[in-house]
This record gives sequence, structure tokens and C-alpha cells, in this order.
Amino acid sequence: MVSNKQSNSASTLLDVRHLHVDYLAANGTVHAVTDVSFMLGRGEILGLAGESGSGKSTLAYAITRLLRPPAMITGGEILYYQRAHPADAVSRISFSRLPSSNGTHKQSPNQSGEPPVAGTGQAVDILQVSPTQLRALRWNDLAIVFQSAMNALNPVMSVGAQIMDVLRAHRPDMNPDSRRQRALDLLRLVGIAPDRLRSYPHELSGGMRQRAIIAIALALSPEIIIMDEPTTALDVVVQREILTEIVHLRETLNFSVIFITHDLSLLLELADNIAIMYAGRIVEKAAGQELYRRPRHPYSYGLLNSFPALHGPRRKMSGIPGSPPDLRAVPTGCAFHPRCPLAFAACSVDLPPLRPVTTEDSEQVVACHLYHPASAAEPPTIADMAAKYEALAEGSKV
Amino acid sequence: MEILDQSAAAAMNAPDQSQPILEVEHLRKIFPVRQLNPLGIKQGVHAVEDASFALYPGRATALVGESGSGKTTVARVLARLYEPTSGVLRFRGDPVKLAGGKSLQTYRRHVQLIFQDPFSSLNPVHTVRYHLGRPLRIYGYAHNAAQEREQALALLNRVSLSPAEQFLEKYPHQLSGGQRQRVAIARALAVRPAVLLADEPVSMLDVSIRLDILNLLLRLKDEERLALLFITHDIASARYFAEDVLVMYAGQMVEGGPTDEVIQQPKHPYTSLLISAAPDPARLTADNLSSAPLPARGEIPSLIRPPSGCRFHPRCPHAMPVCSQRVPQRTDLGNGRWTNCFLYGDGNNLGS
Repeated sequence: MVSNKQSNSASTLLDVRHLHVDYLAANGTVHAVTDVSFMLGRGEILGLAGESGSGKSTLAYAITRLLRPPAMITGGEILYYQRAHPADAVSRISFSRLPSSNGTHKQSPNQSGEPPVAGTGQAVDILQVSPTQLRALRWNDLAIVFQSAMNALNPVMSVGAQIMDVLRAHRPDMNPDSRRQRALDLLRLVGIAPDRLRSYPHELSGGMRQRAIIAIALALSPEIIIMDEPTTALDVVVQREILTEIVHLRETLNFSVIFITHDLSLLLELADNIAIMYAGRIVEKAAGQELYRRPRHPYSYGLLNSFPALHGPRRKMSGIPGSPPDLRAVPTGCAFHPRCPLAFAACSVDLPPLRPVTTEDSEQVVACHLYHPASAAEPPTIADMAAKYEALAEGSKV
Repeated sequence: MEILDQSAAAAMNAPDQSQPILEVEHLRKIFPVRQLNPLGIKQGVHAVEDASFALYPGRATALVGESGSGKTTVARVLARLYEPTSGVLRFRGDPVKLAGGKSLQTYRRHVQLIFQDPFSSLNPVHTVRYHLGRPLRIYGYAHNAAQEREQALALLNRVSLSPAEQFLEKYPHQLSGGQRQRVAIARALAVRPAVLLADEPVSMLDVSIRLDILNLLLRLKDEERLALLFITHDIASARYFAEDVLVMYAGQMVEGGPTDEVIQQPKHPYTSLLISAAPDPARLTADNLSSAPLPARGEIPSLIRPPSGCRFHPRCPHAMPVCSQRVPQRTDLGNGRWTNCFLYGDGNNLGS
């Protein structure tokens, strides 16, 4: 953000700016996503973490424009930088691109020999495109793996047929044989034996169904895959296999992932960057390692501290007192202030903007008054936050 | 006989612990499978095979395993929601009569179960007062409305739902997930039990409030010297919560012992697999995700026709010929630790 701005903007794939999503309910408007801005780089795994009701899934559905009334995108823009130069972008929109039959290699974006500079590719505002363009955009560029992926497969169609169905819809000029070949490639890619092509979903285990869903998402080699809690329903061993698979596929195919989960300990291992959401806003964004070592926002600290560790001393942990706010009436100022052990007067009045934390070469941004540059007090250390949380836990009986 | 000796030995190892309050020996549970062919061989789901363990007052025991490992079945047999196919249940040293009626009610006065999902374990058409009042009346602790109200308020205060007066008249849909689970815990406490079986009590709750509920259970355990069985798939929260841990795989108990020892130095290959698969941010500093391959792949096998011998052998990286031929018996590793694995078996184990 601070340094090497050039390389940053060149590799930007998705630029979400000031996005607002509301649910228009009879008993008040729910502000599910409020003023969210972030950038997703090429090949980046961005983790979105937060409690349920923090707006993570709504954000994902907004990016793919899958929201239906009563959800309304009330503001902002989602700029998508297409992978190739404008001429190709046009041809891509018009369904006529030749299929890439080779599953393991992404179609080279620089067919004309020029290095691809994303800045020169047209930025498309996903919120403004026509239904036809949207249809071309989805799956080609933007795929989604749903939360209940185990149930997202059609039970009366074989897995192979479901993959080929995608290809038939989006690549009408592909012949049946190459569709079948592509489906086999995809299954092999995600670690399913190709002879499972004719299997129906009920014949597959939960982990294999999840892999099949990922294969379908990969069918058209998209640039961005949004994964909404893809492993929540799976057992730890299977979850680990799927995560290893995602990391491996990302390395070979170089797509970007927006990975949504409530399990922060999982994200820390997986994601390059992590954004923490609370009450519809991003309250902190940092590199995974950095967030683990030095969470700045008291909420991030509390969330990190909600997961018992496998190693190290066993100590009493406190979690975060209270419960998430009602999004119909978000607290004024910083939405976290009623639960925050470090809250002070300004927190309930002013809304803290996302600011870079330090002057160092760090991309960590945090929305918290404690880190205001003009504030006289020293920013809190980890020990401060731990002590404050502990004091709060002592004060209130569990 | 061997198990008896071992539980005696375990008691010797931990002299500060009193007698076990609830004991299970050689518990088996087979669920019948409906078949179309009346002449076919009777099949069944072998959900729990030869489980033996004991719960002690004031001590939490975690039962860890993947879904399908039989941990919920164990809890439900202990709560007597299921009748075991075979095995002995002992409460305070006396065998529990496996019959219904009055004896069942007496048993449930001492042993209570907390369910996983507080969204479905409370009746949506009744208030909190009704949920707490029913056990108080049925078990004879409250004889009139005033007593019922007074005791229900005390229960709500014990689970930190305050102001209790307000919660008394609320319906489940007016409560958050954490509050519902607290009501469910209060309902279990209403009969003043000695044993609390908690079946994944926090897995349906939001991450930030899970610890609150765990801390509440820990406080109750210490205050009332409850024996707790904590069933979970999350080995990290088992470490946080419990003194002892039992690891189950496909219906068989594979390893047990003091939690920290088992997690830091797992003996059974399945325990190692489970721990290496668990998310662990601390591992980041050492090496990254892709460079730490799992020792095994795959999933829990079908329990209708489970693998012969040790049920983990098809996935086990250390499998030997003997593993598929015989079921490994319990090998005592000292200090209360044991494992069912031929890797640690002496001649005794192989011979049995």
C-alpha cells in the first residue's frame, strides 16, 4: 500500500471500492456490508474472517452479483481487471473464445507477445455489466464454491455430466469428446479417480463431493474463485486434504482465492492476506503471518484468542464477551466498542477509518482509534490487550 | 479382567482421584440395518466396538474423533438413550440395570446429556421457565410454583444468564445461540447430576462465544465436582478443556491418557494423523502447509463391514500383517496412558 505502488496496481485483479449491501427487511434495514474496500491481487489468497453475521458471505455474493432481493447493493463499485488486453476481452464477452482443452495449464494471457499489464486491460465494474456480460463473466472469470457444497451438486446427475454441463453452456463450440476429456482432466486435477466420472453424488464421500465442486468451479479456468466456508462440514483430516489441494492448485493454475471462514486458525495457515470483518466492515487487514504475530485491532486479538492452541502452555482463555451487534442498529462510532475492553470516549462517537498501522514497510491497516497518529497515548501492545481482556473476563462471571 | 486390573492401576497412579463415578466396560453397540432379503445375513452398523473407560468426579474427559467414529453413540448409550448391544455400565460401582421405567429415571437423575444443537434441543413453543420447571417438578425438587420459580432463577444465575427474571419468560427464538446453550446447560443441572455428558456443546456456536460456554462448563465442573464427558472433533479445544482424552476411530478406542501427553506425543498413528491435520498457526513458522504432507489419506470406512483387525489398518502408514488379522488389545504405556496398537504391543498383546 505504501511502497512499490506500481507493482501493486499492475497485479490487481479485483478492486472493491466502498461497497454497501443492505437487506431491506420489514422491521428495519440490515446493513450487512458497509463501506468495504479491498484489493485482490493476481494469485493471492485473501482470507475473510469474522463471526457469523459479520457480512462475509454477503460480501462474496455481492461480488458475484448473486444477491437477490431483499438484498440490495446500495453503493460502491467492484472493478475487475480482465486478464488480457481489450481486444481479447471483447471476444471473451461474446462467448466465442476457443476452449482450452489442457486442464493443467492456464491459457497464456499474452498471446500477442506483449506482457500482460492489468492496468491496460479494461476495468469492468461488475455491478454495471449487462446480464449477458455477467453471464460471460461468471465461471469464465469468477467462480464460487458454496458453503453447502456437499448439497450443491445435483443428486440426479452424474458428476461428469455436471462438469460437462458447464462446458456445454459456456463453450458451445466444444465437441462432446473434448468436453469429456476436459472433465476427466479436471477430476484428475482435484485428485478424484477419472473412473468416477459416471458416479452420482450420493456415491461419493463428503470430501470427494467437495473436490468435485472445486473441479466444477475450475472448469473454465477462472481468475478468481470465491470459497464460502468450503470445508466447514468436513472432518479435520479431509479438510486438511482439501486445503492442501487448494494451495497446490493455486500454485499450478495461479488463480486468486477469496476464502471465507470463521475459523481464523485455518486462514492463518492458508491465506496470504487476511481481512477481519466485524458488523459489516473490515476492521483490520494484514498479511497472515503479521496478523498472527501482531494483531492490532482488539477484535482481531479477541478472535485469535478464541482458538485454543495445540502447543505451548495451557492457559485460561477468555474469548470475546458479549455477542455480535444487531445489524439493524449498529452501535455508533466503532461498532465493536460495546464489547471492546480497551474502548474509550472517542470510540462510541467517531467511526475510525482504516489506516496504515505503522510507518514501517507494512501493509497492515486497522480501523481503531487506538492507532490514531494524533492520539497521545501509545498504541497498546499484545500484553496490554491480553491484560484488558483478562480483567474483563474476571469482572464478569462466565 | 485385564481391564479391571488396569482401572485399578490407573486409580493407583492418580491417588488424588476418588473412585470412578461412571464406568463402561466392553461397550458394544450395533445398529440393525434394514434389509430387503429376509434370508440374507443379518447386517448391522458396528458403531461402537469394545469401549471401556471411566469418568471421575471433578474431572473432564474428552472424547475425540471424526464424524462417524461413534463418539455420539457412546454419549447416548451413557445417557441411556440407546441400549447397548453388550457391555457393562457401572454407576458408583454398581452395575446399572438396563431396564426402563423407574430405574431409568433414577439413573437420569445422576447422568445428564447436553446436546450439540441448542437450536433444536429446546422446544420452540415453551418458555425458559417451562424448560427448567419440568425437570424440577418431575424429579421432585419443586413442589409448587413458587419453589419452581425460585429454583429456576437460581439455575439461570448459575449459568450467568442475568437478569434471570427477564430470561424466565423468554422463548427460545428470543435467545442467541450462546444463551440457548446456557439454558440447555441449566436444564441439565436442574436434576443436580453427578455426571454431565456434553455432546459437541459448542460446535454450533459462534467462535467468539465458544470459549464462554467452555469456561462455564469448567467452572461448574470445579464448583460441583461434576464428572464431565466432553465430546468434540476439535482436538485443540479438548486440550483446553479436559484433563484426559480418549481418541476414537471407526468405533474403536485407539488411545487414551492425560491430554497434554497424548497431544504432544501421540502414540497411535491415527492420533498422529488427527493432530497433524488440525489447523495450527504455530506451525507456520516452522514450515508451510504444502511441505507438510499428511501421513495418511482417506476417510472412516463403512461400519457395516468394517475392516478386520485394527480398523485403521487400511490407512495406517505403519500397518503390519498382524494388524488386519487381530484386534489389538490395550497396551499400558504407564502414567495412565494406553493405546490399542500392535506397534507398542509386547508379546502379551500379540498373543491375546
